[in-house]
Amino acid sequence: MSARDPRPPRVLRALLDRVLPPGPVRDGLAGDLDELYAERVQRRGRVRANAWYARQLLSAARHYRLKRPRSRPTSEKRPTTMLDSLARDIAYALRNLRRAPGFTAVIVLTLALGIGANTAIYTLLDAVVLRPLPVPEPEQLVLVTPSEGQGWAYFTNPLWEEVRDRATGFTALAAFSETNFNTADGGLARRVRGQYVSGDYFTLFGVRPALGRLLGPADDVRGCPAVAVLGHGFWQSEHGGRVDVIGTTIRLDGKPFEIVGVAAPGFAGPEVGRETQVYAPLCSEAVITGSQANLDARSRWWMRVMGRRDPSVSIEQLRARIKSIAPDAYAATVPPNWAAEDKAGYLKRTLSVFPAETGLSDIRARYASALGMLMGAVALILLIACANVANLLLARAASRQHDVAIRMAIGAGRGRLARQVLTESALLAVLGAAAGLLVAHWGARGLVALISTDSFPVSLDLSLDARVLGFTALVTVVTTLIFGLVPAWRGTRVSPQAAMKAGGRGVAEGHSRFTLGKALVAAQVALSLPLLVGAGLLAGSLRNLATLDPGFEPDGVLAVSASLSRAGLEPEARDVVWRTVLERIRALPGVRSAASAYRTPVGFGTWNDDLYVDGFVPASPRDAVVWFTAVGEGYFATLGMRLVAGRDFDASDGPNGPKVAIVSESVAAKFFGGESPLGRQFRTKRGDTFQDPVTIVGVVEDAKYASLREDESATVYLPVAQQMAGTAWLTLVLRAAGNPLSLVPAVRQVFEEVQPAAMLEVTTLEAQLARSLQRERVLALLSTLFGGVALALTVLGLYGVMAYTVARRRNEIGVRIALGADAPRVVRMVLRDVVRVVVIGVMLGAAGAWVAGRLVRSFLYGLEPVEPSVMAGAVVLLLAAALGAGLRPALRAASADPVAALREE
Amino acid sequence: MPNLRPNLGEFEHLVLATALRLKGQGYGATLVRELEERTGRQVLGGALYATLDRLEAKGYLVSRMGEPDPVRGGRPKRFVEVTPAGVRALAEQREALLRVWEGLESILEQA
Repeated sequence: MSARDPRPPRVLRALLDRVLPPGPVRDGLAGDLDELYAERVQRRGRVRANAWYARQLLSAARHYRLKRPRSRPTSEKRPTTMLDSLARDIAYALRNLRRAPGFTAVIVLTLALGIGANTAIYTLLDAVVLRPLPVPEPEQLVLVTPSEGQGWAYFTNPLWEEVRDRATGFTALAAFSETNFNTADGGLARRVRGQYVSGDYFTLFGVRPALGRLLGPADDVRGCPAVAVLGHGFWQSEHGGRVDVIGTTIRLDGKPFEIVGVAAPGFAGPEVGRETQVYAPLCSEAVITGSQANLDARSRWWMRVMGRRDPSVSIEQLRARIKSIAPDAYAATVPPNWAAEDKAGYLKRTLSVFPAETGLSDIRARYASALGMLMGAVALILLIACANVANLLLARAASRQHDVAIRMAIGAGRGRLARQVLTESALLAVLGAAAGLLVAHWGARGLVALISTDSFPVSLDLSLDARVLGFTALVTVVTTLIFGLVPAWRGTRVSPQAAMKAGGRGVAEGHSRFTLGKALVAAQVALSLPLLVGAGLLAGSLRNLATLDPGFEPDGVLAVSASLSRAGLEPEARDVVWRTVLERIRALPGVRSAASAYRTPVGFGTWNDDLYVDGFVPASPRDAVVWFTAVGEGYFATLGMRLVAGRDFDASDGPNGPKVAIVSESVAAKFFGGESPLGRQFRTKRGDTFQDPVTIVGVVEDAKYASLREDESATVYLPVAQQMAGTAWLTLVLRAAGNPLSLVPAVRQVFEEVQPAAMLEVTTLEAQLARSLQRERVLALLSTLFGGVALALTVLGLYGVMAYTVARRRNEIGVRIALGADAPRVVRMVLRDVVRVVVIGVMLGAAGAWVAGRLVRSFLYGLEPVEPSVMAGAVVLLLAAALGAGLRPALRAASADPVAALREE
Repeated sequence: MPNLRPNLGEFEHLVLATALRLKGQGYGATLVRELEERTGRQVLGGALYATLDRLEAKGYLVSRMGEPDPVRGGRPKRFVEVTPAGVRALAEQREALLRVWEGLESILEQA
């Protein structure tokens, strides 16, 4: 025997020391057991040796403790302070967890999933919805709106100038307009996220220059020079943070702008999720478009206004003040070409202010309710995870009753033991939370990647700040309490004598009672049901939208948006460029057909107008509104849209020809009541004036216009040649024989040869449609993921409980088999238990599923919030998964050896 | 007929006899080994020590502690030696058992 012989587990040895009276007995027996233990490890292995040692320990406890009056542990061993005892508890808990790595890993992973998902969603919610803008005194910021509400916040430049000059009660007031600048020098466009800003913009947000100077009121005058300030991130990524960037030139939509400064890091625009990369003065919009027209336009609403409230003025006072200047501001800016009725309405408009501490956000508008919903989903997952952990801890508490009994036997009080169990739970929660933070870190970034697109890159500050950490801590504490208390209470509710009986069978749960473990699993089923139903509804809606016939064939279509604004051409010359380019593109190998258009379906740039048809009386003012677009010859063929009647546009529909149009089937049905609209006419209005009548020459089948979700797609198609003569920009659509993206180099080459100054942006129609369903896809993906996690956790919990129950009932089942029960009967008996748990869970969860349906209602398409098929699918899925999980324990029960079971009885 | 005082329990009897066999060199671990080998059943240390304590209290054996042994975690061995009273008790017990068994062996063999 050497000093390196295996030693019994430390905790058991320490326990033995405490069990035995000091002196010869302790010394002798402990030494003997060490010696024998080493021998036993060699003969029988460590596991058996440990079991043997534990039995030895029990025997020592029985002989040396239970017979004498119970006493407190000897005084020199007793922890002296709370901290001291806490440290002991933690050390003890750590040792316990290390000794059961599988158990610890499952619990920590389960918690990490629950806590991580919660923190990830909360991080996003915080970044998008809750966190104030990173500016000094953000609570003073207000959004100024040209109406009573917050819904519409856009100003025309003349209206903004009136408000700026009249408003009081602000320490700063600024207007800004988000735009995408193209910084390329020609060829394919390179978009940067830019902002036109008024003179007080940087003062308003308290931004300091990192380099050079920022823009001030002096830059914000009509005819201002073309100067620009770079955002900090852009300066770092694009210019490598070089200081000599000041004074150099950046091209914005082809026009040279002098870089005069770089903004300090932190604030990157009031639009949360959109990082401004280049700032230019409002007045420089005229530089880019080459005219003052937009600055003077009285019906072009393109900028928003924010202000900083003077702290001595309350928000109500400020609202009253701004309201009082509204009549004068509107009177000075009436759009001259509006109809009289509309002008009267314009004069009645008002102004208001709203707190804007957290800034503005398009992604907030698009995702706030979705994030709220996801928050609910992950909260349910956390509850399910907690139930799982509680179940695991319960099973463990049962298996550790011997240990607890010994501790009680040697004088530990229930409170002390409960504290120890709680410490272990808390430790697990801390480990789970730490792992959860990792999950959250990656999860939140993954989510942002999911909601980002090429045209809307989302940049959010996802650093884990005190709020997120606080939230995680809160979740952790609640979790600990939830799953720690039950096992602590049950685990210490044993009588030492009962627990010490062989195998602890005396305290087994009997028969198929509805135990706490099963109740927890039923709760898990109840919590999973809404998640599965929600996932089913959202995934079903996505499928409905994705498989919907949009009225055109998006596969194989390339869309090229081109701009000639830099070429400096006269309108006539532009038309020549468009014609030449289109001819040469049509001749490219691999191009089946090509056409020009104002826009592509389900893309940007919607256009609607009132349609006036003799004999049609609109039921309401909205009733006569239809979509408009302009398309060239061959557009319908290229998009795979069928002409139902009449003809396509052709060369005769030029600027000087008679005005013609093609209408969609629903326009024909609605405005012409089933008669053929061919040869009939309609008109539109500009202000109070009717435009020339337009003759309908064709009818085409309906196609989605603005979004796949729209119900009404009534569209009027006008010829590009008549509607957009001399245009500086146009979209070309190409149907490719193969992969449309493979045509991009050839298309670039055509433009390069015809007009090198042209700037291009390309996408496929398929990608555009996919982008339009991005939110639906994100929601379907996440809800399915969460539903899957919930299902997996529930199945795991069910499996654990059934396996445990079957193990506990081994003897009873053995007796049944001995009395003639065959295997199928035993399997049925166990599975009946499973079904009972699921049925109870489903009944409890039905109400939750109903609520889930209501909550996701606004995201649904072609499905009702309460969809029997989805509900039934979720229940069947749960039941099937549950039976699958119960099968293994059931089979094990059926194969129980009655003789072996009875021998132990 | 001598006065028989069968005041040794079965386990006490086994332990005392084994200690006698080990001739004063027996201690906990060797007693356990010897007992397990000869009886084929597992011996629990707590029971053994409680029994040793009882036997010592009855004056049937004495124990002495050895030197602290590093390979036993610095713990000394508790050697036990049977006292003359212990030997006498064993002898009496044996005698009593033999008498009880007189004439019964043949039945056992037939069974």
